[in-house]
Amino acid sequence: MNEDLDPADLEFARRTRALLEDSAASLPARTRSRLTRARHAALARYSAAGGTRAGAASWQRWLPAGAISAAVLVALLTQGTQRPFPRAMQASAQTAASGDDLELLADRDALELAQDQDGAATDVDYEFYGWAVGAANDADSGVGT
Amino acid sequence: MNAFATLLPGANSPFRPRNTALQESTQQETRSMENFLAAVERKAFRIAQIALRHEDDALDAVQDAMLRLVKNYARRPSAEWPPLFYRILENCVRDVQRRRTVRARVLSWLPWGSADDEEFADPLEQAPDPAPQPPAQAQTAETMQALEVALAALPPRQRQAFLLRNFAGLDVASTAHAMGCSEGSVKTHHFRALRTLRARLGEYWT
Repeated sequence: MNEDLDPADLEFARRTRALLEDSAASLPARTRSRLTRARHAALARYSAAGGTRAGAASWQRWLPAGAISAAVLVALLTQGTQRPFPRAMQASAQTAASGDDLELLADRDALELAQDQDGAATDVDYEFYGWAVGAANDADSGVGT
Repeated sequence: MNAFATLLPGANSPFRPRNTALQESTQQETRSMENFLAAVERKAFRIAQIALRHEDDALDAVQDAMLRLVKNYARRPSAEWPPLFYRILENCVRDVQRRRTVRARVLSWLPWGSADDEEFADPLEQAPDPAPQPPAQAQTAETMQALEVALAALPPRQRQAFLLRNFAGLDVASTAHAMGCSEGSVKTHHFRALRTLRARLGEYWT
């Protein structure tokens, strides 16, 4: 306040300040009410936005969920691009399997062999081994000659 | 039960303590900002009213300044709020003045424009209070009115420097920050404003 001011300037400044402060202190109730509402409106917007730090907190809170969602999305997209190839492979494999089955059904001997092989995998064919042993003994003893 | 309690959402969340602290911090910021705005709102209104000579426009300017300060500078240290707020307020006052100028130009081209110009000065609001006033109070009101007229007639920079230094209570550095100029310019504007006001209002101070 003392920038090159003489005492008369300082006194004038003091009186004007007192006058202005009186006018601010004696504002009408209607004006004071509107100022209060304006202040509350400004602060309400700040609170509604959660403040700058709260905004950052919500961003951090949703970060893991966002990362998981992004990972799932990437996985789906990657699988989507590779899906035509496995489908073709599965189709060709199914076609080949069904062709083998038809050929197996058409060939009766091959079907019986396959059934025998399936049975051999689980049960021992004692009848066959008994016959084979008997046939070998008969050959050794000259039966049928 | 306790094992299930630990599975509740947020029971062991690493974000929970930080969020609580942040909410408390935000509430503290809101309280600090409310205290600041409550302390300056009346002076801000008077500064805007002296510049705009219109109560509703002054209220709009103050509300706009509050919103801008809260929106953009609430995270700044509270010591920086006064110069920032008064700088924003001056910008809001200029915005209102620009809108007035544009509106006046547009309305001047319209045949009914002169009728709408009357809304700038509501005769009911401008009418003097019919209640009898004590002589001292009437003299104070007359002096205040003369001061307002003299302040409104000042160049904007001089008026701003005078009101920020002499009414808002900012020091030279904060006033320079609020006005966006050097401290030397603040001193020059303030000194010229003071001398001009003294010359115009001398009769009211004798």
